[in-house]
Amino acid sequence: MSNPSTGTPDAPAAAAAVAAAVGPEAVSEDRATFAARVRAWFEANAPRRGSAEDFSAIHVVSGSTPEEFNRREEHAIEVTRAWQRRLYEAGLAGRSWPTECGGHGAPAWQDEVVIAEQARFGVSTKMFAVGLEMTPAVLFAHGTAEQRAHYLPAIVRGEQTWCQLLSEPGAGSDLASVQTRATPVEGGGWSVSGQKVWTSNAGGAEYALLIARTGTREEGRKGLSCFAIQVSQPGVDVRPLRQMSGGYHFNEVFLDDAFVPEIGLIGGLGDGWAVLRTMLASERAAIGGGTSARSSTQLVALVRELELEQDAGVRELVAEAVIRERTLDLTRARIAAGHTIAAAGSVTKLLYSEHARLSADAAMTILGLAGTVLDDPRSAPWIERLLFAPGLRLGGGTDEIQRNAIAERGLGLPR
Amino acid sequence: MNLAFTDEQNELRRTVRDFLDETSPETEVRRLMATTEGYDQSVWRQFAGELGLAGLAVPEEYGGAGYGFVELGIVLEEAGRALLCAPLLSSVVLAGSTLLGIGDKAANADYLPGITDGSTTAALALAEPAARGADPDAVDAVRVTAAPTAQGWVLTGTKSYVIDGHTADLLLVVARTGAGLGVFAVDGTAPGVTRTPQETLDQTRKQATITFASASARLVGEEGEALPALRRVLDLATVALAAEQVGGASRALEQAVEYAKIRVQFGRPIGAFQSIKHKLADLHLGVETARSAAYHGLWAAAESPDELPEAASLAGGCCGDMFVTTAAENVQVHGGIGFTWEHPAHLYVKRAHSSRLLFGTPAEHRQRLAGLVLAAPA
Repeated sequence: MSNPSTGTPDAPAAAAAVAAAVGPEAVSEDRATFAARVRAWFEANAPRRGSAEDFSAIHVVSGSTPEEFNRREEHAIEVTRAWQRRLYEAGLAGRSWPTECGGHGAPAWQDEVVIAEQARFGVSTKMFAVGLEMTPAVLFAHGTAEQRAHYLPAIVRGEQTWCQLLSEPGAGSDLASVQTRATPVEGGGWSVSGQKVWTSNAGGAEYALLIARTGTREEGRKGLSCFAIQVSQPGVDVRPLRQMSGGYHFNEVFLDDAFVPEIGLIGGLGDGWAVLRTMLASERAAIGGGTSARSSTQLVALVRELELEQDAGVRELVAEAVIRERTLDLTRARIAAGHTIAAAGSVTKLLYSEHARLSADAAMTILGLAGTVLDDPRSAPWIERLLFAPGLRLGGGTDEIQRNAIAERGLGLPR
Repeated sequence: MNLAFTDEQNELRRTVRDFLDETSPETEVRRLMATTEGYDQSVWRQFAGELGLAGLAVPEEYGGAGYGFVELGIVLEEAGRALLCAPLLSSVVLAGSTLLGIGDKAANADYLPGITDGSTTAALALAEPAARGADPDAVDAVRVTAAPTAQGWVLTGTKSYVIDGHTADLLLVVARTGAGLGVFAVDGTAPGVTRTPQETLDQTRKQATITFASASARLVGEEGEALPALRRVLDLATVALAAEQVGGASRALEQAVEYAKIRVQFGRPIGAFQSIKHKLADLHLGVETARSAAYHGLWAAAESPDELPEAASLAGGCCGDMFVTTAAENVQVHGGIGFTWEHPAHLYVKRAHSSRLLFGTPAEHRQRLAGLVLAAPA
């Protein structure tokens, strides 16, 4: 077993397993052979779910002080980076990406196999979701070959983390109202100034996908463009926001004459809205498509600890949580198996946020008076989830925006 | 677990939908629900005999196609959409699964080929007048007795809520002997059998009360050993019904969405109002998650018997309530027109409420699901 926090194999056997994962011939392998090899590699290299080394929830970072938050975020990035590096060395990262982007040129289903296997183990790359899922979606749909070769190799090797600079104080659900401005600089490139908010992982990110105004305010969505911007530069100031739990996870990001080189414009000037739609669709899929927080398993453990297995009211709450979680996982499995589900990304994102909210709510009822205090080890993790759940209902498009998307794009109702 | 449909399964769905579009339009559903028999024999013969849809989950040695519950579930989902009036649930799912579950080779050879080609219909008589639910664990609730005589077994007592019990050629009756519960085959027209149709909430599915007064019966399987098979039959029935409920709810949601696009009030289609949009979006979530649970249940029925009890209660714990909600909201979206007899919305409301009670309520399934999950090793 490797130590995921350092990425150093503990034994030569593990190192051998990395080398043996899949080779060049895997590109043309049939699904069953490929899946068996991937599974064998995970069996040998990944920690089990529920084991002490399980880091599948490491991307949900928060801290009670900005300093603690920064420390935990750095740790989460280190762990994720080491794991992504192992996936890369094993030949399992970016299977479907072209070789010049650091990938293997394999069929897209090979990525699905790796994702499905990964979900069975106590590992996660969700900390790098923007870089590994959204940036490639945007670059493959709207970027140039030069941009893909420029940005993607460092991402697939786990060397760079990305975040998104989208929402602003005056542009929440209504992103067409973005006011952050990008103006051309003499000699090429752009200068960006404005204020962004609700940015996850901004503190540790090297790059961001940015939506900024390049046209006039009156042009609305037609005046927007998308950029890849370096976050670690003067002119970008990241300040953690204190959220309702008292802890820190999101940031405000102030941009003051930050620089974006010529290559950073993704899609054409004024095409930002189309790029944004690709980005938001991949974000919904990334949130809804993640592994469940397994809160029903934790709820079961709580009920056992409190010896409430025979309480009919408690059993109803447990069953509801189990049904929500299993049907979400099964719905994801149907999507992966090719079933057509209208507005699938919004459906899974909404199911996910509802499950998080209702499960924390159920746990509080089950806890009873213990749920009123933070210094009880049984209640503390649930109170943290309870106070984080409202954010899940807002991030990546609010629940209401998702319902609009399901109704309009999924069911075809008039706008 | 593989939830992907094969090309063959997709083709089966298209075939069934085309057949039902032609043979089970709303006019035909309304005609049949007003009859005592409740179904059209010639259509059932076509359905079973020509298309082979009644024998999908029956082994080839008994005249079936040798597929499994996934294929049968596709047929049930389509039948649910169309509110098909036919002995599909009674004869194929309940009676067919009971015979296959008990595994009495002689009885199977005598009865299954007829059930499969549609020349015989069969019904399972389990619940009794005092029963609240069709739970085989409520052994004490079975009062119908089977007694051995020189001429064979004879049955005495009353069964109720027997789906298609008034028309079935063959009755499979759960009865008590000194050794416990057994399943007994009785000719529906035998002396000593009195069948009375009940006035059903869901007119598209008939039920009957059946009284046995020393009626001759044939023991199927071993005396006193029916309980494990019956437990499995109810799990299979639960996932089969879940598929039917998902089909019915899908159609009700489609009706609501179609109407919301064309009904204009305050100068706009009502589907442009967010109160309607969000309601329909939530129904879509309910239908799709229930569909996931139903498909998983069908998969477990076909491929993974050990997982069936939990999978059945997962589906049973959500599909029935989801159908009731969807059918009710379909009326609400339609407004006044949805409240009329002429509009089909009420047919789905009644099917939804009735089917939710057949094989354990969703609340009961949730209690069982929680029990199974809480008892499982951590």
